[in-house]
Amino acid sequence: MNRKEVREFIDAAPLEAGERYAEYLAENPSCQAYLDTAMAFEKKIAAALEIPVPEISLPSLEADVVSLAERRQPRLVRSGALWFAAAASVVLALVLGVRLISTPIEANDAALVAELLEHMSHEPYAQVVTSESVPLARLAYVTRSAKTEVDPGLGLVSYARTCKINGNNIPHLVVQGEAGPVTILIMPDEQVSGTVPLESEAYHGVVVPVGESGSVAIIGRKGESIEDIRSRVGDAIKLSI
Amino acid sequence: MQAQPENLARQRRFEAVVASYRDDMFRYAFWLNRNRALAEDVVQDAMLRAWRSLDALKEDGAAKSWLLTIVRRENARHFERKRLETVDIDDMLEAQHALIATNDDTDIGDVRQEIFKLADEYREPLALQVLMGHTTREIAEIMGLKDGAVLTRLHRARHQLRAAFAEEAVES
Repeated sequence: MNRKEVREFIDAAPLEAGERYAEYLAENPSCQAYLDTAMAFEKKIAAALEIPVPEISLPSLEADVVSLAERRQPRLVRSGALWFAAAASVVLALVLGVRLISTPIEANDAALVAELLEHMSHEPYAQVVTSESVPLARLAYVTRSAKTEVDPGLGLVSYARTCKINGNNIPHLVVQGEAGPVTILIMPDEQVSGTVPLESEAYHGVVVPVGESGSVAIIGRKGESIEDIRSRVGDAIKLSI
Repeated sequence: MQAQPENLARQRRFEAVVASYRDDMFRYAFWLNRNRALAEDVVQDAMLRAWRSLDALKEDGAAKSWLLTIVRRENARHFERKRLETVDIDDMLEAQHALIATNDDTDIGDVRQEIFKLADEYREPLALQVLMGHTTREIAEIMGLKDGAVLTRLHRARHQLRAAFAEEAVES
């Protein structure tokens, strides 16, 4: 063992070095000082790695009764009982398309549309053409927090995550449309004045009012038939109020 | 669905095992992919995977390494499955640093930014060692490497970090 070897080990594993080379360090103050300096830097590395952790709930295990093989089926055709137990609460089906498109778009609507489009740019990995669905348990976990029910008629859900829109946690789902992935943002607390069109260079879609104070955004790539998805959403997604 | 006693026992075991290590799972996932949202996804999927293969965990004392290995696999699956787009490191640094910024002093924030910049092969063993408290041997097992390769990566990781701060000191 020599000084170079010890210092190289200190650089790689300072905590282990103290024990491994205890005798050597006791007799070599300069190497002990080198270790002390390394340990001081180590504390900063440890503090830097200790990032804040969000609240992470355990997954809904009861919903996870499908096998991994089954979960890879392109269509989410499952037993109704797996999806949702009968809701005891009053359930309001999404009534989409009953209001005329509002023009001009009100300021609050425009701000919401801008936030939605910005949100789309934050999650490019959601925009993937795929035949693989998310696990049922994950879908249930994401939608449960928004008191939302999704039945298999929605089709293959390839992405499900809780996201923040205007500070509120909302379910962000992606289904597969004709022109690619279509984003569905279920926003129980985002009121819009009417059906609001949404356009950008890459996307188009609508934000439709739901119930008294909520809305759902449906956003697809240019060329996507939003009306088809909108119809599926209306049939398959229910909000409990 | 009627819960069977054996299912309840299994569920309780799962909850006990996972509850202790959720924070570690998230932090590890985050330092693997440097994306909070993606890290949450990875942890969710890893928990489901752990639930399904709980019987493979023979001793609860080995749960931490077992769970981190699952997180590692799920993270890789996400990248394979989603074919994630390449993200500009500077954009990522700015966006993610803002998300994880706390009241840490400037020094810590600077170190964090430099850790962000480390290559995956250096950042991962560093997180496993410093954050998770794993030994070189344990890291080697998790990453499928030899001990010497782990030590080399750790040495290079710290060398890069120190070099970055030496440069900063010169610049200032």
